[in-house]
Amino acid sequence: MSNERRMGKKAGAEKNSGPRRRAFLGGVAAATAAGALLKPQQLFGDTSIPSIRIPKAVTESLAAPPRRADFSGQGMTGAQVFANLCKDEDLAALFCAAGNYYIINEIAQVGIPCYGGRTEGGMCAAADGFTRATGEVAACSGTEGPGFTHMIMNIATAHFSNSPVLVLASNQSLQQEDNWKRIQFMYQQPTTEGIKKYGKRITAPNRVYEYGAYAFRNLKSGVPDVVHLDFPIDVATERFQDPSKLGCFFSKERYRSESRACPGSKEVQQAIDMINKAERPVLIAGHGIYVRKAWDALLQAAEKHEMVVVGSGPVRGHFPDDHRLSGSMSNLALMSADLVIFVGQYQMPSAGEWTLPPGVKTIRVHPVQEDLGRNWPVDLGIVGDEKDFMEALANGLPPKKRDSWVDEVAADKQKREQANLELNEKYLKYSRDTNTLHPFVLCKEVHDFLYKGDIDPKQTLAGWGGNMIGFGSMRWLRANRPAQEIPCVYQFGPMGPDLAMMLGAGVAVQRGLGPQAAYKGAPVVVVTGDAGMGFSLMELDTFAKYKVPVICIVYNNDSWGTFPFALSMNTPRALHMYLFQESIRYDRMAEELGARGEYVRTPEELRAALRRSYDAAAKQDFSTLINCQGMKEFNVDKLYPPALSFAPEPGVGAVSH
Amino acid sequence: MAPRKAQSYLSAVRSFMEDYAKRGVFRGFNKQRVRNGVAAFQMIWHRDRVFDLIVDTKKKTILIPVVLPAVPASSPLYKDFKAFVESHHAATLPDHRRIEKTKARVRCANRRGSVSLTMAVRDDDYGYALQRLIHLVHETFLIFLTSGPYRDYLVEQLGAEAEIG
Repeated sequence: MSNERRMGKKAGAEKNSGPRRRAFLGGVAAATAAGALLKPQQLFGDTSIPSIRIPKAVTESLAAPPRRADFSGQGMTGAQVFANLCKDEDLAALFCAAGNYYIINEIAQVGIPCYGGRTEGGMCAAADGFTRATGEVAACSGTEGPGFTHMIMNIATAHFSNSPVLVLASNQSLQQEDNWKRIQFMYQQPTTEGIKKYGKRITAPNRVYEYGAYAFRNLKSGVPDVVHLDFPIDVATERFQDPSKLGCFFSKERYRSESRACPGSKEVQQAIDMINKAERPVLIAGHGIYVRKAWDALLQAAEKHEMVVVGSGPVRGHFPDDHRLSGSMSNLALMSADLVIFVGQYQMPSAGEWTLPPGVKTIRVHPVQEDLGRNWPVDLGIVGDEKDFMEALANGLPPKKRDSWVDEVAADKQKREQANLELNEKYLKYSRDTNTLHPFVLCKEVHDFLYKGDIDPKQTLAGWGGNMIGFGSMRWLRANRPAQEIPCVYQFGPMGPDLAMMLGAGVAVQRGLGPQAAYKGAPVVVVTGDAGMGFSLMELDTFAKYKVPVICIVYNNDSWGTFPFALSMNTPRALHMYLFQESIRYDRMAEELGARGEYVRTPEELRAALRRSYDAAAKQDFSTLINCQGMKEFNVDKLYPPALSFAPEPGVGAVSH
Repeated sequence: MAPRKAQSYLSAVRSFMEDYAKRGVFRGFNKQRVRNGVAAFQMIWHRDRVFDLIVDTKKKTILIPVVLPAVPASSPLYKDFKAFVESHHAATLPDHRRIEKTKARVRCANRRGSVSLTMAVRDDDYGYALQRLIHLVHETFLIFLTSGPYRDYLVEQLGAEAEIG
């Protein structure tokens, strides 16, 4: 079933969108766009309700020429100094909800691409998704107090995914410290303790540039992670007419270096000798391989020396799942490894968490010395840049064939794929019997559509989250090129940011940035649950506003997928807390937000809806929400065995490390 | 068996166990007792549980008395586990994964719900037998239980997480 909605038609009077929270538009006859917002509304006469539309002011605003402030005349504010620094650092994007006005307005005005969404939390997730999709730094912003605290879940998510997100938040005046004058003052930095790499509440206005430099030094070197700056209004509004008034005011070529730690030649040779002697080596290509763009060197080394490779991290594809040397679906075969080489594995598993033999000989390469040996004992620890190491391996390893090892891995992969197909038959019967979609069946349909149909199997960037549906997605979504898959639940396990995260990823594809270049403009896909809709649904408005096409597949099982806890703990009085109303129409909500809506109950309906949605996205940049009616009882093992659970790690489906 | 021979077998086992402990395979490893050619070890291992390992040089066995707790003998889980264990002797397995029957033989047993594994040492190579047994238990927790329809067992009996978030 499909519900088409026409968009873009004007009907009735223009809306009066006068000034909102702050009065700075009043009395300012500035740009044409600002003037257009102040026309009076026709209160009587035509009372028809206009169709949803993108206001002209959005287009005009996006087309307004950038302006870089300088020291001439009245000079620059602290906000303008900071904005110029961000521009010089090629900050790739800012995602925000309105607030922290001085900073976000100047960042927009200097020409950095900016995106305004519906919640600060969602926009923080969008920044995270953007960095995962591109490998570049992105910023998010929220206002002091409630805006900042709304971002906490997604700041933590970004931290545990080593995403270089610059969190910007305004703060009230330094004069408000400790006296509760007016509202919203809080100490922000302690709140992000443990979920960031660096943070600073800038209190000396003349050090705004210096701390901006601190921020980017941390964002662009070492192991990436969140940086949090908060700006009291005194800092953002201070004026500087003379560069000598600013501390450490020198260019980025001088305040940071692009130099990386090169692995020692002796240690590299030791590694080469160990790998050469091994019969069944496995290289774990961690997030650092992606961050340092070392995937070409990785491929060269792996193919030259026939090493099995498994990719890991919060964004996947830096070693393709469909490569003959990929061990990402061969967990049983990985138990035969006689040497494991971790390169760029930031979130390090503990020995015994991954399907590798107990006590296997281990090499680990990491840019930071103090992390070597953490969680997993090493036989050889090497401090070094991941790209330098992989290039050294590609050059230094001799050509080698390991036919029996490669065959063992391939055979295991085939066995697993066959097992998945057999399991799907079982779940298909459940779906047919109930006229609802089992999450495994849903995800297989998505898999076939994205990777087995007429779409290039390397094209579509897909993200996924949710609980029950997550267990399905983790088994069926693939990554066949760098940054093709984003497991939104990686490490921190947040529920809900998926759609918002894929807004950022979608922007990256729309602009064709980094690994997304070859697929510029392609639709993105997100598979999520109905519980997540409570967090991110409104961002469909943002997708529509910026014409970022997404196919949002919502598994609707009328509940939090964890409802079996209420049953298994023998607490029936708790069950209601896990349940939603049945048959909620998220597809209709999507239509009212400017997207298309589809409602499906069977694999055939889903297949057809995917095709229609893809066409609408690819040809017209329309987003679609496909509301897939599922059943919460599929998560009860006694009713519909086997209930889905975590996939073995590492490889396809890994969420912990 | 001559005490000296028994001692050398026990030393080999202890040395392997210590090496595993040093490599982080176990947390908290200690040797409990040695008496009449029998040595007992205890370690914290999968799912943070305490595992006993008993080496009996008279019977020529290495025993882990409780690999899986609370498994009814008539359950599909136990039936599948027996097949899984037996499959490790299959000729179709590569040499480095197969438990060679001429060298060691593994059996599982179920005593009031506690599933044990006993490795019979056939050629006095206690190191080989121990290594294969340790690998088998490792595969039980990381492959057998996670790939099969045992989610409720993992959650209810072994404290595994049931949810992503």
